[in-house]
Amino acid sequence: MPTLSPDDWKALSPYLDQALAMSEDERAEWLRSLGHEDNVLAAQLTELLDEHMVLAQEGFLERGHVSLPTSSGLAGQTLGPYTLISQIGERGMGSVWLAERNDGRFERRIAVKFIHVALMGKDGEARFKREGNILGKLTHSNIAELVDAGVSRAGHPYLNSGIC
Amino acid sequence: MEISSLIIAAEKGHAPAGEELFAALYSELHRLAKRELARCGFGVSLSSTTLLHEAYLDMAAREGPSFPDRARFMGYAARVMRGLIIDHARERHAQKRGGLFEMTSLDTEVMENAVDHRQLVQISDALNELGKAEPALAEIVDLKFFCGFSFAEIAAMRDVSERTVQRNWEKARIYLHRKIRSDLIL
Repeated sequence: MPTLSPDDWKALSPYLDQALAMSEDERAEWLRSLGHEDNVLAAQLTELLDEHMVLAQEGFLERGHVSLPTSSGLAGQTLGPYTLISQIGERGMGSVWLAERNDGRFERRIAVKFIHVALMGKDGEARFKREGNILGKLTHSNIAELVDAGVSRAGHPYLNSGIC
Repeated sequence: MEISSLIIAAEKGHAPAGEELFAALYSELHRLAKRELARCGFGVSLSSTTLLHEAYLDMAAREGPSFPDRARFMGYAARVMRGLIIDHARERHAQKRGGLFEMTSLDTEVMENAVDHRQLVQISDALNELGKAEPALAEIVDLKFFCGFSFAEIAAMRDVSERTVQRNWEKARIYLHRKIRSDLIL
């Protein structure tokens, strides 16, 4: 679902109202049972709601964090067992991408955070490490869990955090 | 024509009245912003929320009991405010330094500095599209993002729960992010 036509939106809109009124657990259960009735609809909603989780975490359009999506050539590239789907945010220090498992072992979407190497410097590297360490230690439903950290083939350091 | 009669005509679906209404509100807000700045001195920050409240009091006092309620007025004025903020950001960009005045809003204080005018235009274009599909959602974004109203203030204005406003905001945000992203791909 790369683009959303006005008709798509009209069809999805009442479901989004329902889903956004639920807790995360309720929503997951609801999507599962919806999937039995209408697989396509459930998949579309899952994609939009994943995006919502990232936007909420990022504070998109809040507190001055606009982070508009930008076009970039990373879509489709793989990072370990994950394939990058689309960029969902950009900051001065780096960018965040939505990615999914590509080995079919389990369905999971994650957020991948890239740090611009050129902008990193010593401070950036230390901050990146610290963020990785802290996230690695924390597990809470409101905090993205650190799944993995490493360096991409192009040499960009990255952090992966689960978003659903 | 008075703002109140323009609002009535626009609500009846009279398109030219709608355009005239927005033009009238624009010049009214612009005039007020300049007046406030002249009063407070150069280089002062002006909150768009304050400006809208002032505008309401000013116009309601002038036009008397026929003037619409605050919620309806804010709905129109917030959209006009968006245009004013974007024009201001564009002007400031063109001048490469501080423009005539700083315009900030309460919880989006950083917005004007952090976001350049092209990004504001992208958001505004996507917002116009959302306005066609779900005008009530677009209005929340105008009120919150461009004018700095809190969920509680918007909820009180519309007489709905804060949770409802927040849910609509979240929904609007998904739409805008999607829209901006697909515009980039196309």
